[in-house]
Parts: sequence; C-alpha cells; structure tokens
Amino acid sequence: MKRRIWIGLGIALLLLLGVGVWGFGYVRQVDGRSPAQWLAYADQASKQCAYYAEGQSMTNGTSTRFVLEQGTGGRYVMTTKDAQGQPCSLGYDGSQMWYSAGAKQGKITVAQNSATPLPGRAYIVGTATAAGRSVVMLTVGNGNSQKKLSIDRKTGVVLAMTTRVQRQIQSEMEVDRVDYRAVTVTPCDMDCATAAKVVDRATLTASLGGNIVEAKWLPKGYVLTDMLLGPCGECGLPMGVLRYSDGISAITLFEMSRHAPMCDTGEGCRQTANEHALVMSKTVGEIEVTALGTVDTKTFNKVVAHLR
Amino acid sequence: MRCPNVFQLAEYLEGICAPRVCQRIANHIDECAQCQQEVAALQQTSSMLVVLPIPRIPRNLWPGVASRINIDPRRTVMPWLWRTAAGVGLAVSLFVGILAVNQSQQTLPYATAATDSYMSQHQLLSARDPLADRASIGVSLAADQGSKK
Repeated sequence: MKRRIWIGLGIALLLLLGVGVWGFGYVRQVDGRSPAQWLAYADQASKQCAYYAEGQSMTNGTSTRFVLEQGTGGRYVMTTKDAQGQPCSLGYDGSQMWYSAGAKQGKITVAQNSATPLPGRAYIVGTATAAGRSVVMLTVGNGNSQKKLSIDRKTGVVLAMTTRVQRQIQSEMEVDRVDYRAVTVTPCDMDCATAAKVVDRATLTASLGGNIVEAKWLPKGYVLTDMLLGPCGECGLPMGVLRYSDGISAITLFEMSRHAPMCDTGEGCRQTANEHALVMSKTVGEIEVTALGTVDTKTFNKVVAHLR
Repeated sequence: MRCPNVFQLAEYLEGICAPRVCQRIANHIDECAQCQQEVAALQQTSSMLVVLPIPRIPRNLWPGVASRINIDPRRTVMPWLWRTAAGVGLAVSLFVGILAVNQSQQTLPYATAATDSYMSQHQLLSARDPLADRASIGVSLAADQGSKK
C-alpha cells in the first residue's frame, strides 16, 4: 500500500515538474519582455524600423538568396529568385502590395491600418545569435502551423524564421547580413488592371449583385482583415475578396455572382486543389464563393460549412 | 506475534496467504499450544467436509428464484431471433453511417480548375502580416510563375 502511495506521489511530482517546465516558457521574460510583448515589439519593428538585409531562404525544397530593403511605415521591397533563376520582387509601398515574377504581376490595394492580429500564444525558447546579433527565440502556433522566430533583442526585427505545418518544415528563412540604415521605398508604379481595392460591405454587395458570403464560424483568434473588390484575373468580372487571419494562417474567400459566365479556361475561376493550400467552391444564394486556406483540412471544412 | 484469528489460520492452511505472513504464522504455531489446537480443529473440519457428498441443484431452483425477484424466466435467455435482429440492426446502422459520412464529404467537393490567380492574391495579402515569411512567399510566387510557363 505504501509503495503505491510513493509511486503515485512520484508520478504527480513528475507531472507537476513537466507542467512547470512547459509553463515556464509562457511566463519567462527576456530583457523585461514577456513572449506577448516580444511579439508586439516585432510587430512595431516591422512598421517602424528601416534596414537592409540579405539572407537565405528554403521553401518546399527550393533554396534561394533574398535581398530585403525595409523602409519605415512597413514599406519594403524584397527580391528573390526561383529555381530557374528568374527574379521575383515583392513589395509594399504603404498602400499597395505588389509582386512581379517574369511576365506575371499582381497588385492589391490594402487598408493602411492593418487589422491582422498577433498570435495569442507565444513561448520563449531561449536566446542565441543570428546575423551577428543577439536574438531571443520564440515559438508561436495555432495547432496546425507553428513558427519559430529569432527576434533582434535591440531592434525587434525578425532575423530568422522556421515555419512548420503539421510538424513538417514548410519554409526556413535566415538573415546573414543586416545593416540598420535609412531605406527609401518608392511607390509602386506598376500598371496592373486587376488591382483590387478596399471597399465596404454595401459596395461589395451592390457590385456582386447579391448578399456577400461571410464565414459565420472562425477558429479562435481569427478576424476579418480585408474586404476588397477587384476584377477577376481571368474573366475581368467583379470579384470580392474577404480575408480572415489569426496572424499565422489565413483563409481567403473569393466571391462572384453565380450568374457570371465561365472563364475561358473552362472551369476557370471556379477552383482547384493546390499543394500549398486547400481550395473549395460553393454556391450560397446569388454568390459563388471559392475559399482558399492555408489551414488544416478539418478547420477549413468547418469554415466552408459555415459560409452564409 | 499475537495469535492469528481463525480466518488467517484458514488462509494459512489453504496456502493462500502471502509467503512472509505464512512463515510468521508457522513460527507462531510452533510455539503456541492454543493455535496448534485451533489448526488441528480446522484440519479436522476440512477433512470432514471433503468426504461429504456434493448436493445436486434441483431443476426448479431458478424459476423459483426468478419469480421472487420479479423476472420473467422465459426472457433471461435471448432467443436466436433477437440475436439475429440485433446483428442485422447493427450492420445496417454501420452501413448508413458510412454512407452519411461519404455523402457529407461529397456535398463539399474539392473543385478542379486552375488557381494561380487566387493563390497569388492570397499570398500577396499574407505578405503584409508582421510574422509573414516574405522570402517564402516571394519564392512561392516565382515558383507559381515557373509552373505556369
């Protein structure tokens, strides 16, 4: 009997120790900042800090160099190359997100006061050195996706990042040279006829000819970050874009009138499965909606089932 | 050691007590005349029980017991018909369940057309997030361009 009591006490002690070690990361502070404060610091730095950085990126087995020119106000221009050596530019000039990859270009006007939330739970892993700078390492996740961040302790700039989806590494980024200096990002002058613009619900409903479809159920932490209207890149007809995000993963809804003719590509604008995301089409009332999400299948299916 | 009670002695005689306890009881019996008498009496009772005939259970015992506890003795054993019906019912439930799950998946099919345009916009919007891996998004956009060629 006494032996059983001792074994029980031992197990309870081990469990308590495990919970303590696990919980330590959530309450631990580095330089007087909690994990949530470090995330807020990184968010602030992404909008206010100017610097020039070079580094290496590995995405789905493709390794490439990147050059980042980060200006104030969150403006930036990043240049990378694909596996064939074709350059790709990605940028934000304060009002428009744009990219250019060979003959393919895209541009979206976004709201200046970004509503993208920061992840609710973060965990301090420790401290290390990246690009010659002292960094604090954090882990953030939402169950399906997990990011490990290395944040510069002096400036709050993210110098390394590993993204895991369902425990598999999806991408890795590491800055190997950083120079904090003034950088000017010029406004995007790229002519792009399909650029979407920020609108309100009433405008979107009137443009699409029917009540817009919204997600009536969202995973914890997700909020509506964007509501845009632009022409479909394939057929040019009005298309609504609603984006939901929790700061780690995102789900985007593309909406058109269900009476819109099919695109030249046959099934055209009405979607597909993709190796990077889940895609599903559905008709709700007068609207045909296509959901695209970088989330797990169960969550995605539940969001799609609650589109109203 | 204090004298063991009659239950402990009975366990000792049957050899079902713990080895250490059995040893202690044996040592005690060697020294205690009163316990030796108890053991002898128990052994005698056991030997008398062994030679007694085993009584036969009367055939009408269970209906009598069942009537006293208000159970219909005819229902205590499930007839083969009920067993078969239960089995068929379970199989039908499983079949309907599998069909329902398949149906629910079929009502939300994955569509099968091109998605480059939507994926690009989704990634472009994600590139503004403070924790976005912009390098990864840039490479993905360039890779989509490569696949389109």
